[in-house]
Amino acid sequence: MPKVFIEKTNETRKVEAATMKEILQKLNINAEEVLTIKNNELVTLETKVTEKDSIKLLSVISGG
Amino acid sequence: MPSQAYNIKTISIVGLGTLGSEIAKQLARCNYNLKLIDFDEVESRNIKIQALYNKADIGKQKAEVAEKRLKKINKIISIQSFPEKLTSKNTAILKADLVIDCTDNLTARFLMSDFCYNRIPLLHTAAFKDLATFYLMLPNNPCLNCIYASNIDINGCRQSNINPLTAARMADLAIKQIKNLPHNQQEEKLLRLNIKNNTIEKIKISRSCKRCLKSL
Repeated sequence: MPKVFIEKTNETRKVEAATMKEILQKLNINAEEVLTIKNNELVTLETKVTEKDSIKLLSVISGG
Repeated sequence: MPSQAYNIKTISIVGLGTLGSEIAKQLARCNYNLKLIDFDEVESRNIKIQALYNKADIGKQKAEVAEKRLKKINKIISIQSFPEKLTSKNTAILKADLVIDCTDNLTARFLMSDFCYNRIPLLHTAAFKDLATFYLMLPNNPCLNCIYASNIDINGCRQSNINPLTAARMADLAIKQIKNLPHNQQEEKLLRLNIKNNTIEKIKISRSCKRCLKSL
């Protein structure tokens, strides 16, 4: 199970998932609200993940 | 891609809130000509955290007040104000050697990204409390559509103030990037700053939108 860091809540959770899309679905997070990062690279929702990957969900911020 | 030489003399700044006013102030001090674009008026809640305004400015156009203030800081540069909302019909006002995005919404950001795409550099900035995002979109780099899935606005500055320290750090970064532009190695990285933790993460960006994939 990949470990996922969720920036918004500042927590790390283990999630049983094979893709970024599944991670978001299981955590009930809207894809438009986060940047999906795998090993320091922005990736698409279709990207496959394993427990060896470092996964981060960074909040989209838009203030200026 | 071959490296490209940039000669930055005139810079358009879109959005003159916490980030935009701080960045404009520093650029004026560094002798860049400026085009200031913002349709908003100064509000009382802006005074404490936005570098260019005071109480007497409440109700006035930010772009015009900023022009006046910056001309007092540096008399020799050219400063033009555009108190207009950026729309698909007036993107020509962006024309400059570099555009800096300091807006609070993704709709305006996508307009800038489209205008600058494969033409001129766009410096994208965004902030929320202690967090900030910084990305230099050079003509051959992935565009903002490769980063953001849609134009919904999650947490614009209207919902929560930006830490002025975040704005100061972003202005410092912007100046360094602009000064370094002639030698920039076209690093396709988005920077994520956390002022509270004093960290900067570098995130690799790849072409993923239809337009950028087509241009490969």
